[in-house]
Amino acid sequence: MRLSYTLFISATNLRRRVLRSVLTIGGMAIGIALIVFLISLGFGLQVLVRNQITNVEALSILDVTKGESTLLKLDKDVVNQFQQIDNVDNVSPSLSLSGQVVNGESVTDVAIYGIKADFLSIEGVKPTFGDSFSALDAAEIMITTTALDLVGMADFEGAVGQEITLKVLVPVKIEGSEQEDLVSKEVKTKIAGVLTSSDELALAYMPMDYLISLGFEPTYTQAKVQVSGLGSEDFSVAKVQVTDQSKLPEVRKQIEAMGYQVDSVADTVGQIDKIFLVFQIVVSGFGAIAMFVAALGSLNTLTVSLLERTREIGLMKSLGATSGDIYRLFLVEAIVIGMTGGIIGLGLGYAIGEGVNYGLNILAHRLGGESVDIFYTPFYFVLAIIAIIFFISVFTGFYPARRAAKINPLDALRYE
Amino acid sequence: MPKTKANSEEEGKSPSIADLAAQIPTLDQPITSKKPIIDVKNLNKNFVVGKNTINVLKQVDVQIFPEEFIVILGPSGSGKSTLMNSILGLEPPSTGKVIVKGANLADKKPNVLTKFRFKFFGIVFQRPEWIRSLTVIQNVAMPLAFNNVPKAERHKRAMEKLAAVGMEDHADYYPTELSGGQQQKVTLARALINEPDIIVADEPTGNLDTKSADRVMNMFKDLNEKQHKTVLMVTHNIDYVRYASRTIYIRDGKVVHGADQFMVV
Repeated sequence: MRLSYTLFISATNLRRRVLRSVLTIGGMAIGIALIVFLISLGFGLQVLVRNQITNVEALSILDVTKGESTLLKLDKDVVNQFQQIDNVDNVSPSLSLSGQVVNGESVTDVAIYGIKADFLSIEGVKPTFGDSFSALDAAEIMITTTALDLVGMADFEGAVGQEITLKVLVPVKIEGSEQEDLVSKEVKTKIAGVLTSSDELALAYMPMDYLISLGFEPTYTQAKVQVSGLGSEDFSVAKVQVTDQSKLPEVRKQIEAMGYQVDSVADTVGQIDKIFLVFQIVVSGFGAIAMFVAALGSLNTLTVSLLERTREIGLMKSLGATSGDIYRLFLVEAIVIGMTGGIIGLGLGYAIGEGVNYGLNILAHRLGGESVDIFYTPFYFVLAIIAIIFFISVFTGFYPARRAAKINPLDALRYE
Repeated sequence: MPKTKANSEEEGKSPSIADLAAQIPTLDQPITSKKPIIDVKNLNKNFVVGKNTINVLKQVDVQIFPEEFIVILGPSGSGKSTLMNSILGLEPPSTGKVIVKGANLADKKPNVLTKFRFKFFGIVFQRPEWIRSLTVIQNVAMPLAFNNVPKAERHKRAMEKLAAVGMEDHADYYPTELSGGQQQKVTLARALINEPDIIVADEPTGNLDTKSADRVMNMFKDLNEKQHKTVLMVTHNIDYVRYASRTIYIRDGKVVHGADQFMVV
């Protein structure tokens, strides 16, 4: 018996008992739809949260600091050492200063990072308005909208190219002692670019070489001491970019062995992933219960169908159908029920997710929020669901199929 | 457990002994040089029901030759259906042999036996049996589908057989929409779909009124005479003996001969 004929017989049987077929397939569809809906929600939230924290590139970056240590140095030589480690793609040091942005009467605190050219790309920072620095030692600044807002510069686009006063607080060694003190200095810089910070932080980037060059001004001797030390700058943070995310733990170990403190966005993301994994497991548990109930429904339908069609099985066997044909007939019927329900469920779950998302976004727009996607159905998950449905269908089909195949045609034809 | 079928129908009016005697052929074996197409040798069939063993068939020896019209006549519970099922290979013998076309059925594996049955036998059941979700033509064509005949050819051959029994106008009906006589005609078309040498029928007219029954019986006769099919029919109705080229009388699981045949009727 050909598969096409087996499918044909199954289909006519399902059509004959329309209500029962619809209810059974409906049960399957609802079970699958529930799973798809909930797990898509889990994936969606996970992606949303991850995107809020970082870009993909940031996952291959380690932030190296001296931590609490006062003995360690983080200078050019150390940076070069990092560069020598296997799988390290790029090392970009930065130094951080505290400072204040001044606009007329308004003053606000900002965190200032002195950076090299490649730091921005490693960090994944792109200016919303304006551009990056014109030169590596230019008296320019890239500043977040939050900081500008705080000093009353609401026209972000217009702010590009304007001059702004910066009060820089630099640690200065008090003469005759090892103690440091913070001294405030004022500089005028041009706004090269305006950044949007999702965390609404007031921070600014400046070319590192410019900050160092500031140190050569007589009024900035102290700054120079701090920043360039004895002809070698001591960086506050070195960003290490690894060639491949999977190599991250290896490189991290090596740098930590050198005594430095290493932080990574991947740590946070890893923890978020863990939380969502738990969420997915719980949700899958509920889904599994729904699937189990649906599978029982399917099994029940098949068993009832088997009893109803006992005479038909006897007839088919006496007219030349083999036990294998009958076995496949019931197995195929189970698969048809399962797959039809499953595919409807997939579509239904996806559609409900999209519908809810659409509704939420309309609401968000009314309330002035941003559009978000809180449902995400990865392709591999769709494939996995289809595989699971297939597996469950085959599993529910085994028992009725075996029973049907074993039926003695004579007994079956006497069955009332 | 299998049991012989309890037949609920009332037997027809008993004709007079003289009439019957005239109808009964005197020979138990036809005069022929042909080899038997079906050879039942020393067949015993026992059913175990609870603690009791029932001997349904006792030492049955039957030879059926090509192109014969055999009526197996016997009262309810005589074992005639069991004999028929044994010949079809649906009922394995307790002892003895059933040889069809030179092959011992007991030697065949179930699936081989199924295909063998499909090749040589066309079966008409007492009660028309259907796959209720399929139309008349789909039911008739079904045995071909089990043997991987392509759809177009299945349809063509099924239509031919329906036309042969005068049911081509009902091809797209569902079988249960037809009358009993019509249904039995369609069953006959289905039994012929594989061009079998032997047509086996178990009380094919059991559920029909006399007019329909006669029509169906005439079809069997035509098949036997015009298409040279061997017909093997099981019945308890003495009227059908007139269609037979030879009648096998069976009573209490035994084939009876000579004057004992009167006991059967």
